[in-house]
Amino acid sequence: MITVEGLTRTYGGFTAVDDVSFVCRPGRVTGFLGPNGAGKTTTMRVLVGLTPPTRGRATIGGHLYRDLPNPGRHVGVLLDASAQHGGRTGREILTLGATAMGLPMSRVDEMLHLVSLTPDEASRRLRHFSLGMKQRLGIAHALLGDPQVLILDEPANGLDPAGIRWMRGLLKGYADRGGTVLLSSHLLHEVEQIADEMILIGHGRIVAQGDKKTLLESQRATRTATTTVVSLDNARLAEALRARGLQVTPGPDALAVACEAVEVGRVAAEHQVVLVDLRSVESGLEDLFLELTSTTQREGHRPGPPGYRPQGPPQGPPQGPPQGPPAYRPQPGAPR
Amino acid sequence: MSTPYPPAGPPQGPPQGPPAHRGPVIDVSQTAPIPFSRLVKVELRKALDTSAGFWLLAAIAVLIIIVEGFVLVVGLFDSTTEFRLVDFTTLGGYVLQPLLPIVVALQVTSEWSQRTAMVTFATEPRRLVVVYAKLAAGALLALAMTLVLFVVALACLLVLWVFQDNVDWGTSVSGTLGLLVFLFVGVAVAFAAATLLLNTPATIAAFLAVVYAVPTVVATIGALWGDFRDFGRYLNLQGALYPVLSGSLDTGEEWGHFLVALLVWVVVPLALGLTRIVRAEVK
Ligand SMILES: Nc1ncnc2c1ncn2[C@@H]1O[C@H](COP(=O)(O)OP(=O)(O)OP(=O)(O)O)[C@@H](O)[C@H]1O
Ligand SMILES: [Mg+2]
Repeated sequence: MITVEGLTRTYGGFTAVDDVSFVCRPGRVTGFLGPNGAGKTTTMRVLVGLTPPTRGRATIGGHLYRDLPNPGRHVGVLLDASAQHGGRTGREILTLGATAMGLPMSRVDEMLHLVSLTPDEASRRLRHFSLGMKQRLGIAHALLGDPQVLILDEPANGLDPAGIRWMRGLLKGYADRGGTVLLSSHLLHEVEQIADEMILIGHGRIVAQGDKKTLLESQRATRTATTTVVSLDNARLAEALRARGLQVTPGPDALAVACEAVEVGRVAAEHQVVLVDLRSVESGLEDLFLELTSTTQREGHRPGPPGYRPQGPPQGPPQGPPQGPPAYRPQPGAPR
Repeated sequence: MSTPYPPAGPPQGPPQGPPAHRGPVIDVSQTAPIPFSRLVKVELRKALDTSAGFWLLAAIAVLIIIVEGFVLVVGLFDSTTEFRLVDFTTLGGYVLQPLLPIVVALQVTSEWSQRTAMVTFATEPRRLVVVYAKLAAGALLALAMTLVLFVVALACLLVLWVFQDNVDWGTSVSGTLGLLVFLFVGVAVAFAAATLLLNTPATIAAFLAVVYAVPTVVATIGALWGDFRDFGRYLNLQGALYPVLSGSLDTGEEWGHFLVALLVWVVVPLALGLTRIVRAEVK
């Protein structure tokens, strides 16, 4: 359990983190999301006592980080995987950690194995590590002490697709066993797939937080549904849909229709047009994210609760013609 | 998510032990703080586990052997002079005095230059304790190198005794102690500068300035401007150390010079440096 209350950090006249409050619960993966320079790393550094806060406080499991005895046994931290001595071997870096934390040396091999660093790779000096190898080593270091809480700054940074998928599984399993995970990213789709809860931060302020579904639904309510459809006779289908008074935007292969998918299906069935592809477009968190972290901030809106409705310009159906098979990703976590 | 997680990627590591807590509060009553001895052990390891650190120490050992070996060669050709232990250790001490402090200072500054401070202070947030562990590890290293100095000197004496029999086995306790103080004051000056500056080149420059440049400058000014001479002696670390090294620190004035120089060049910068480290934002 991580609790951040009214956290503010200023550098001179610049406020890097502005009155941030949130909670990360055990058993959940919390994604900390924001564009570059939003204040994610600063918040995490305050959490682990490396940066003193200007105001507010941050506790882990009810304790200030600096009050934790042997904190590596309770909190796994990865802030910057390349912040290690370039002249040490990967194995040596883990050995130092294990020694300090009072762990058996077998733990080093276990962790190297867990993150798939071979003995040969682990015996190289860190300056010869690739970005992804450094990242794996950093994750291994965070997991060394078998902590109950993980704080990871951009853990997927530099990992290959298999590595990202592995990490996703690792963190989900970790949370399922009751662990608390806070991870940051500026890549939405990354967080979307791992996190149960999301905290969106922009310009140092939290602009939205809540579980993923709530965030998505709060956003869906504000816009018209959009469906893309491909049929054997797009022209006839478009005509039929227009006849229903629906707004249709034809593209080279597909039609974008401003209504629910079921409506399009019904029209197609009535006119006996064979459908090849029919899907409802989830504009997803991407839009929400971009909106919340840019426009609302500049326009001076206050951050809102999970049900907060963004005040951005109303978005109709996609303006440009959808290219081929709709470019939108299905949202794995969202109801279909 | 109803699907169980399959770690689908290549790694098939052993499963993690279950994170133990589910409530909002973590019970830390069963966790012992990291003992000081373990922190010292880690710091000693850090001094030796990089090629830079290892070769620096190895090079110092080799230099000691070369310098004392030189005295040995002189002794082998000069049967008329009696050689004492201190003839070897003093010369070796002049090798150690500038180099040993750099090894110890690196223990502090490399945490910043290599950015390992983030991991170090996340592992042990009691920053002062970490710095004390570094100081203890540095002192142990300095002791070990001093031991090398004496062992090599003894070996050289043995050779002389066997081949030339021109050895004076008498040792002066105060002289030996003086050498140790001489070396350890240098280490302390560099350590204090390191905590204050947190930067390797600046620390080395400051150390060399305090130990070599300032004494020369102070002595020169003192020679030209009589009123300054007495005051300057309190800043002249070399001058203040000289009676210590020769085992003849006895007058109250000499003690005064020595203690004030220590206060100015070690205690004050160390106190400021510790404050800086405790307050610093670690990046
Ligand atoms: N020591 C400092 N002095 C001045 N400004 C700082 C300092 N540390 C951080 N900042 C500023 O605080 C802001 C937040 O930085 P932070 O590293 O927390 O961003 P971030 O959300 O982690 O971004 P990214 O996604 O790029 O990692 C940035 O504008 C940064 O320039
Ligand atoms: Mg960052």
